[in-house]
Amino acid sequence: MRIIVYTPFLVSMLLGLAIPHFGRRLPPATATRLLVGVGAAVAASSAFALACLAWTYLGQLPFIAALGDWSIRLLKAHDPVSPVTAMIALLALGIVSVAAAATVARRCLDYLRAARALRRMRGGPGGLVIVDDPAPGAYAVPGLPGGRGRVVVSTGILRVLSADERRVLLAHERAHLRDRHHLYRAIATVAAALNPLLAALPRTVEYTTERWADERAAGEVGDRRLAARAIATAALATTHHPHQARSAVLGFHHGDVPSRVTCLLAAPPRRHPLVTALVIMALATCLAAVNEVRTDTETLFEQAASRPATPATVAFAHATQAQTAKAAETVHRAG
Amino acid sequence: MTDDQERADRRSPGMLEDEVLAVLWSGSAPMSPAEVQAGLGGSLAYTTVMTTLARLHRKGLATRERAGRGFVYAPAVDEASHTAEAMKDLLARRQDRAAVLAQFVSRLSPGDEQTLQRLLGEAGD
Repeated sequence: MRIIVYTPFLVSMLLGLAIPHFGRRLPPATATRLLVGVGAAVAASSAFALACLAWTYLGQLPFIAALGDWSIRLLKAHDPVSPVTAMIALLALGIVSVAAAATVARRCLDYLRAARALRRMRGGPGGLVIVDDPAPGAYAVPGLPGGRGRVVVSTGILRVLSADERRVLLAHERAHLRDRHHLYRAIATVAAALNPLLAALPRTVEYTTERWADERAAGEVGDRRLAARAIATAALATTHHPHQARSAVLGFHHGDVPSRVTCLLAAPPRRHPLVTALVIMALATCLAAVNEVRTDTETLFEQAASRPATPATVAFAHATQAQTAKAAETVHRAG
Repeated sequence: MTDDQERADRRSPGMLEDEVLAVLWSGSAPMSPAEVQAGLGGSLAYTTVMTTLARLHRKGLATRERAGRGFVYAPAVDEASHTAEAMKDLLARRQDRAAVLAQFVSRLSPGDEQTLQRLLGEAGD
């Protein structure tokens, strides 16, 4: 096990810092796909690295070693990971696994509850549900797999928007459902639970999916200024409505709406191949490191294998033992 | 054919019916087809609006009554579906709903509001 095992943590730290910036710079569809894909892969890589570190310690526990075919003594001799490091890794792995599992469970419950609430509502032929409520509100609610999602809007929001602006609203919410934005958001949340260094991912993906739907809506009505106007009008009406306190649980994200409107008033977003390449390179580094770590871990346990111990391998193991331990010691101190 | 009409024709029937429903709900009194047509932004042919209203009526999503020589239309209200109560289940409880519910706009902070007023001025030109 070499220092390379820490690569996924370094990559996720850098990625975590860059995520909000990339989210605002890249075209929203690219940003969403790229950040969610890379975020998920990096989160999985860091969990794998934790598992490999923890496994060097677990493998030395008698009842686990008894299941495998390696000798505890040899493993201990070859193992370059200090027991403290391994135990910290084990603890961290436990915490993030529980956090990720809890996130998945909560998300599933949310979907089921939303789907149950939707079943009781009669929608229009295109999936539109209108609620007679003076407080402005509009939501896209995904259906369960196989079912269709619904767009839920209040009469309050329909009344503050003009005819053309209403088309922007409906196109925006339909885009959420059609492009499955809730899936991207869910994956981002789980990735952040699995790796707290990626804590900025869910918020950023929320923003990029909103922007994605904005761009879709602007394309559908063929007028970016109109789309900008619809969003600004709806946001001002939502903030000022006296009954708004009731659904205030949905909170606000400072700066999001003005930023969305500014983007729509500007020219359509340009591609940034360099940024995209950078993110993909970070991913490639991370995956290459994971592959090395996998090889290292396999080698470590092969070296410690007690059963197929031909005299030659034992001799080899003993010869390299001191050397390996010394090298690992050096590497560890360097880290 | 203008651009607007081309775009309108690309809408699927379901989408069109939804848009007409939205117009009916946004009005405070029953509407004539001409009023609905105006409420849609005027980009659709009168006959298209008529057909769509008739289809909504047939599906029980709109009610109509005779007014003069034609009909006026209103949305069919179904307590279970359309009251604000029905939405409570969706919005209640948790804060981290963002992944499930994609809402159109979030609330504005006071600073955001000023920025937005200015931007709206620009967009209105």
